[in-house]
Amino acid sequence: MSTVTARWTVCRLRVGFLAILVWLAASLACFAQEDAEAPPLLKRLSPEVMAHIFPGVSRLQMANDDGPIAAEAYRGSEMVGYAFSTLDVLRAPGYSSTPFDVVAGVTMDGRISGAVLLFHREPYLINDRRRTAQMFAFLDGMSGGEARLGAETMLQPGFVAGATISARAMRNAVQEGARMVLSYRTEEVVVTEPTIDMVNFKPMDVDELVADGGLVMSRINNAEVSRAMQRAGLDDLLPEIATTGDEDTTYVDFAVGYANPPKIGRNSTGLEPYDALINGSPEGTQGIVLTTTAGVYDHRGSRYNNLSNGFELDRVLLRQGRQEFRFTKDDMISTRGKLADILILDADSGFDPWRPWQIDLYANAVWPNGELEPFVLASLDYELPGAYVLLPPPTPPPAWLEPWVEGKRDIAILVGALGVLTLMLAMQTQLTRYRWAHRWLRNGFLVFTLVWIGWTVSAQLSIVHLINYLKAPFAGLEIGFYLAEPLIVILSVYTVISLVLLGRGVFCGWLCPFGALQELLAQISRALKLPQWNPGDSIQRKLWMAKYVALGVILLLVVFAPDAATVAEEIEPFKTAITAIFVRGWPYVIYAVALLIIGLFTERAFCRFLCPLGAGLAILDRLHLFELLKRRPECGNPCHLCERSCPVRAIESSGKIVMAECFQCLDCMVEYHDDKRCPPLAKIRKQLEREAGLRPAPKREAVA
Amino acid sequence: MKLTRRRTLRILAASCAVPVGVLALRQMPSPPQPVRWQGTALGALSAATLWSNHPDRARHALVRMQAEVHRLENIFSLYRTSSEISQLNRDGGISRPSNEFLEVLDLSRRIAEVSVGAFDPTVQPLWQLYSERKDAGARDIERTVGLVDYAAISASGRRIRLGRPGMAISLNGIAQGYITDRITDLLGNEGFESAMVELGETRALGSNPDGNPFSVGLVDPLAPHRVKGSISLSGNALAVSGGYGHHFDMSSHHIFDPHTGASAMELAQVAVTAPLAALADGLSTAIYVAGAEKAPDLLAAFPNSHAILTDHDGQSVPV
Repeated sequence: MSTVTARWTVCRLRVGFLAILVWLAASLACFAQEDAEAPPLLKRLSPEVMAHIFPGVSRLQMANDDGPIAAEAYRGSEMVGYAFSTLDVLRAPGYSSTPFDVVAGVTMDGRISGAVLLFHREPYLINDRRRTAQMFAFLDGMSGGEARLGAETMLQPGFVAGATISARAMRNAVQEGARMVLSYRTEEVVVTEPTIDMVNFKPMDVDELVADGGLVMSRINNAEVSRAMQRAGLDDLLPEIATTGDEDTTYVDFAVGYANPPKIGRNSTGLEPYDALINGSPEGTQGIVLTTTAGVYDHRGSRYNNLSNGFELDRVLLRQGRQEFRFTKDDMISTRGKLADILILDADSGFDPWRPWQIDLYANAVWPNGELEPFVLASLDYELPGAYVLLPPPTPPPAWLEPWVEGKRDIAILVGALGVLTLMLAMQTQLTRYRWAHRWLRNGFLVFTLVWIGWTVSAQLSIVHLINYLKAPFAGLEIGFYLAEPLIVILSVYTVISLVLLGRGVFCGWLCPFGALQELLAQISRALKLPQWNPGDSIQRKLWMAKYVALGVILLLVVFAPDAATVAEEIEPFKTAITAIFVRGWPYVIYAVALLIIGLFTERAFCRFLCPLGAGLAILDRLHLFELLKRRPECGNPCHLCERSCPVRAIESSGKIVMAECFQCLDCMVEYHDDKRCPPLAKIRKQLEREAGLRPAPKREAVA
Repeated sequence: MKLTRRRTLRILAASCAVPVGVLALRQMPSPPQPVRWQGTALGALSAATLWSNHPDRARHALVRMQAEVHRLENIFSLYRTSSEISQLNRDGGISRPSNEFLEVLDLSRRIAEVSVGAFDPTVQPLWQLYSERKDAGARDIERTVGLVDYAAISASGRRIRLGRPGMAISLNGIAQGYITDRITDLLGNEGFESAMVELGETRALGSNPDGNPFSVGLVDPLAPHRVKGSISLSGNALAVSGGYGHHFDMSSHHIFDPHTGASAMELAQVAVTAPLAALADGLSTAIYVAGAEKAPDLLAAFPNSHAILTDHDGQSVPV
């Protein structure tokens, strides 16, 4: 108790001194500053003023943002808070309709550091030094209080006896202004879905609100009234509230809006009615602003005060869809001093602020017998404008999209090439009838695969991709992880489709850059007549198994020792030979070169015996649906031509093609269609030639 | 097949032609260009630089890297309510934790054991106390320290449980390092030879394309905007602990001594190099808390790890 008293005494002394000093400044300001324009905030925050509202501040700097106007206050180099003016931030009126100006400071931790009244037109303060001094003391006592509407202050507004309304208005303006100034800069408003803007505020008048759609206004002159009565079939009668003046004279200017956004609600009514709606009503309460700004008529009337009338506000009806809302006096928060009211809609009213709604403004016509008949004077359609909706920040396009957009050209080339390949495979019967065409097209495609797919765009499918795809359901890898490489995605999809339709050979024989490199080297090797060595049947069967073992080991390691798996994956020389074009550590380069040298003498040795990716594809090859490679009864017995021509020895001596080892190179199909080399065909050809005697027979028909 | 002299020569010539061709190919690509990415990972400003003679490929790899970072954040981020760590802290237990989570937890418990609790993954309640209550008193701190005990975690592939109600873990002293490692591995696995990954901690993949090690500047702990000295990295990682990262007020910062609940104060900065960023990350925090005296023993437990300690007078000592 004693400390409170002591503090109060100190405060009193300080206040006395303060009051004298500031009264001088304030009365000067009163004269200098008419209600039109206040000088810039920094001018008003003179050193004397700052000494009271924010002691110890050495420097001020206007906050350079779109928030409520405020000046950053520095103590040395450290920013300690903001100084602001209620006039700039809220333009709140007190008892008088002319807004007062209280400047105040708020510290970074949300405490008010001091407040001083600079300007006012409050009738019960002007020319009353005692009350004015009390008001200064009251505001000074706010220092240390929380920056929150309704927070405790040391003195109560009643302390300024006779001007409590002014005191309450100024206290509220300081508290709310401080909160707004600080929260705009310290609380980030991020919404995840479109949300009605309950945060942003700036002082706006009715005209500005009408201009941006926050309020919808109907201006009704006397001519409008007559027309409305005509519409209602009451044109012979007079309105209950008589018109004055001529046709063009205003009968009523009436505006409505959704009250909850502070820009609309607080600006049309004021700090207190709006506070009663937002803080003084249960959660979820909504409000409609009605305001009459001119004319002899208004939206309130007087009957809402009558018990006989059930306190009903009989001049307005709110409609939304099929729902109608009627209001009584109890649903209305009135603003003192102007015809602006908030009509309250309870949380369970069913009103939806996102949907359009209408307000009908009613008036009465008077029958000669004195009976009143209501008619609709005006109907205002309202929809919440977009400016009052906070939108979630636009989600940036996913990172993986960029490679697809940037890589348009490469994607087009690859898709085109795959189209050519598809065509060649689909028309392989026609293609393989011409040995030279097959040779050129195939070698051309292999060069494309190696140089462009491999070395230029690095789109070498590898066991790493296969493992990633296999892991995807378990590892929670994001789709973006895969989609980052468009060419790999396209190649993978094409490979899967070709695997299901024709077999593993489409990828391995045509689209694998390392495979292409080996095959091209093998062709050179054969052209140079280097000796070729291929294992015998039984050894080859064992060697084939090696690649399955490699795959198995890698898959096991992936599950049980991921780090070792990444080492094991280096069994593939793809990274070295294709993606890095041999620019890699020497061990890798030597390994890749060794494989290539082996490939010179045993064609595609790596593909056939070691490649884990090939093994994975070969396992899935069992699924393929179509066999396009043709056979004859003579194949294998007695003829072994294709068997010998197969560069990778995928044809058994029985003549059966082992599809899991076939690379779809189509060399056997070339032999199959060659009527000089394929024995059954050659036999038929010779027979036909003999039968035709000297006349050469049309060669090709015999084939079909 | 008979090996004539002529045939042998031909085989030898062809075999030599391949390496010669490969050597020629090695000269073809343009010198590696750096491709840089900047963003955030686990709330920290992050960057990665990748040298490649295929800038497109490098960019694609960086996109995949982001996807991977995002996935790992879903495990380790305290800011994501759905992350495994947030679930664990909320429910006091989590079933079927991911391998990544277990791996980091195991390493952090190992460092906790070796450092006798100077590094402790269960320090999170202290962090919460300091960030929520500016006026935390001695009794609050004492009560909270009681919740800090790595030995009270039980973890298996099936389930992780926190032994006491109110316990919470923070892998902030190590998860950034772990993510840095994973990304470095990812890039190495894609065949890149040179990269600098700075996702909270720093890890080098290989060395500079010119063959020299990467050089990383070390911030002067007494003047955090200045660089004081540098450290060479090739293939290894650097983690720096210092109290200047995140201040609550003048007397406390983000590294707590789990035994006292107060911010660790003996050293101004600890820089640790280790083969893995996760390890460097954990060790630097542990040494920062445990002090210079314990540093040699701590480092000895983990091969190839070294430290540079800086005290509040700005004296630096390599260990």
